[in-house]
Amino acid sequence: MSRIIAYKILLVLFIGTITLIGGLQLYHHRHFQTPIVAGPGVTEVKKLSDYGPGLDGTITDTNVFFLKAEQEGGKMLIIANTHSNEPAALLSSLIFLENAVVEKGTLIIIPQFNNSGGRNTRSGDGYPLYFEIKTHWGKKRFRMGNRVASPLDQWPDPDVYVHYPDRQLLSYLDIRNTNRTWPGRPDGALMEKLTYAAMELIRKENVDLVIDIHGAETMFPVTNCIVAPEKSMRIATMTSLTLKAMEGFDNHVEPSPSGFRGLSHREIGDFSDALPFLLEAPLPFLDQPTGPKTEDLLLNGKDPFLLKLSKKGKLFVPYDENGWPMSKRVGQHCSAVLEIAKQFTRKNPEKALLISNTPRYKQVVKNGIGSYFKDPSKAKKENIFHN
Amino acid sequence: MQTQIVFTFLVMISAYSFAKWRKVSVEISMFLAALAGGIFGAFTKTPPINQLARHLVEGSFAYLDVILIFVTATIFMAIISESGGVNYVVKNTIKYFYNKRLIALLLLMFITLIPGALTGAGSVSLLVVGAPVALALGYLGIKRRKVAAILFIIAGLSAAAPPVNIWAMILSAGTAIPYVGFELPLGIPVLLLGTFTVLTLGWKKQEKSTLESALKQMPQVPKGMKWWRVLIPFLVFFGLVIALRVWPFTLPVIGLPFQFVISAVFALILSPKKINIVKLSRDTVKKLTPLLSTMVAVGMLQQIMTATGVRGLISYAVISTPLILLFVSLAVIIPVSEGVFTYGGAAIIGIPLVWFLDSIGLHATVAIAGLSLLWPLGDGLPPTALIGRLSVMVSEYKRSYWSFLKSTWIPWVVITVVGLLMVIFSTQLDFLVKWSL
Amino acid sequence: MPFIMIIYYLISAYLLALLIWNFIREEKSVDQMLQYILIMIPLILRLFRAK
Repeated sequence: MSRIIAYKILLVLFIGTITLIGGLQLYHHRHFQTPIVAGPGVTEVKKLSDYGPGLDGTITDTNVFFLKAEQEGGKMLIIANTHSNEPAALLSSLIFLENAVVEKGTLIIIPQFNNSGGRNTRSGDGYPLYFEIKTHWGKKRFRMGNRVASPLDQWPDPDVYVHYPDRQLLSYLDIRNTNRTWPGRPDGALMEKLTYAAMELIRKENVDLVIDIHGAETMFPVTNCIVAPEKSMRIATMTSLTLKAMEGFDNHVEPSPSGFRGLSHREIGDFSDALPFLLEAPLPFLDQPTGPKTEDLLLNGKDPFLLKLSKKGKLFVPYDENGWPMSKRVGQHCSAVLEIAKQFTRKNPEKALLISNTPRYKQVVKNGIGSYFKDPSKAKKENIFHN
Repeated sequence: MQTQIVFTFLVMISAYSFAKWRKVSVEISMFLAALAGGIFGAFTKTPPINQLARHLVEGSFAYLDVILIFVTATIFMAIISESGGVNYVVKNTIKYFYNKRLIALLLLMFITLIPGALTGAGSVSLLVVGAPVALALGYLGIKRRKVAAILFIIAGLSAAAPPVNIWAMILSAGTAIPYVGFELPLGIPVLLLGTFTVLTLGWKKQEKSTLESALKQMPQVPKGMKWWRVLIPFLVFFGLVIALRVWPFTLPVIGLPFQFVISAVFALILSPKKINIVKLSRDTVKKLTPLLSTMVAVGMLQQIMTATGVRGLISYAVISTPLILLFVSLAVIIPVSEGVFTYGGAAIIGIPLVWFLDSIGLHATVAIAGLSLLWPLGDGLPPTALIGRLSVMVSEYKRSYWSFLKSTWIPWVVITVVGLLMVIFSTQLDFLVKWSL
Repeated sequence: MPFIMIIYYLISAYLLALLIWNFIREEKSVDQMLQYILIMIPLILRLFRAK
């Protein structure tokens, strides 16, 4: 055998092994399922494809959970995993899904909104594939996803993404970003169909409040806040003030810019009667100047570089040796959601939305997120859902 | 943790330097640096060893779409060249404008700008139109050293020119800034600096020649080649670009690679001579291999640097540098990073830099445009010197590489100053972005 | 799968075939061989729909 052929075989074996191992891990990540246990409040589970065309049978289709009280009242929709690399959103929505009991009105939850993004990984950014939350029955494992949908589900990207219907030019990547494709269209790209179906849900179910949960860098000014358009501003402001006074954490209000299109807090308000809100909690993991992108950084938010930068006044949130633990971020989201419902009820008693059996900030921080997750091995089969 | 990160960085630098010392190509050296960094990082589980293969594989995807653009655009340009279209245009430029030096120089500049602007790679400009343009510049009485200098600068500017600018694409993707509104912030400086370069280096006629002898020596154009055969494939491409923007809600998204494929089919049909497309594609991919493997290796390097914390360390260093020192040092750091990592420089230094510039209130799009004028200069610097070496090769300049590089100093300095001023005054120049939209 | 997406899989497969051909034909440079095979990684995994 000539030397050249020997080299070729060696190279094929070497790179082939790397490709096979890495490829299998990525394949498993895409197909990994996290069981969701429907809690006592869940009354119905639908698919988003029930509301819009083009999703049925695709990986993009996703579960929609209804928690409906016997007494009619206001309707709130919680959307999580719009960006699947901001996992406090998913965890917060699952706390509601597995625990909440609605006494008046209806709560609708889409915990894995961009399901394709949740099954995608972010090339070049070195994320872990999974993260685990400790519970009293063991660890619950979740996929770490990406900000945008997978090209396996929507390919190619355009050279420039022209937003519908405003014709604003956005980055080519944003055609897979479900916080740029609102309000969507029925015959557009897959992610536009996804947001269109969500808009149809909001319109057909006469949803009053929509809360889209996110996370943002500590070095980004729009973090630790509630983003709201003009029509939601009063409730957002009251929520922010009450949270500061009663629960002691900051959550300032940012106005939704009218000139930047495709965002949930802008388009949902403009294309339906609902009041949209977007919640941001600090996510040090997404910051650029951090150490290794580990599961620990994701869950605890402790980083030596950010600590130094904080002392130089370069961060937009308070930051100390304790970092920004996930329980703090999830706790903030839980309190903010409950407070928005409360403020809405106060202003619209005829459309009251009363949610019980859901923890607030201090309880989540004290008890840990995992204490609110049910053991799937002990749950009834009909209560377990996969996307 | 910080000591571990610094050591990982040192291991990566050592692996890269060792590989270069052993005469390994830049692309493979970057791959080996990523591998070494990943293995060293695994000692502290950053990343865990069982995730190393996945990180390398995942990183290789970072620029897959850019790879497809490179390949399809270059095959398209190669068909135009193989059909005789490039020689036809260059020959006619000389024929009709030999005595109108300004027009001839500007036309040759445009011809060199187009392939790089469409593909984002200055090397494609040189591979496709470099040789005939070098000949034409020679017939205009310009010495070979200056011909090489002109080609180097214009090919570099062509890579920065819109619509495809890989540095800007990497930076936009890495910083979540839309890759839109770059047409004027890139197009205007590229045209002005290109014109300045061809006039500074090419205005003076240094060698004697006549039109007749020039035309005689130029490569033969295949019989039947007509202007419309060259023009139509380009009209198809730009027609598609425009149509997709005018009717975005009726036409499906087809992406740049498929747009180039459609244009290539037109070029193939309109070619006056038969072209073996499989052979041409094979040869094109062979020529493009260093560029394509660079994109794969850069993605891997970027992924490992992030997973180990090295990118965070560099980012921290950038943010902690005093602003004035940072601006001044960009004139050196940016080209040197390109010389060492080619497009990797944009990912490693550029992304943290743009994050920082954005956070202090500069206009990110204009700042990226300014920076992406500086990166191509690095393509003349060792160890890669990709565009520099190609420029010397196609212009058949035989003396030392440094003497060629020295002759580029005037446009080099002017481009650096313009690029830096665009970064510093990006907020004042934001109207260029608004006018582009 | 939408028609345009199928075309992109075909473009990827065509590029992969060209790379394999060049890899097989490469007679001298191990460096060049490694470059060919590195570029194949994302193409193969995209065609297998792993990523």
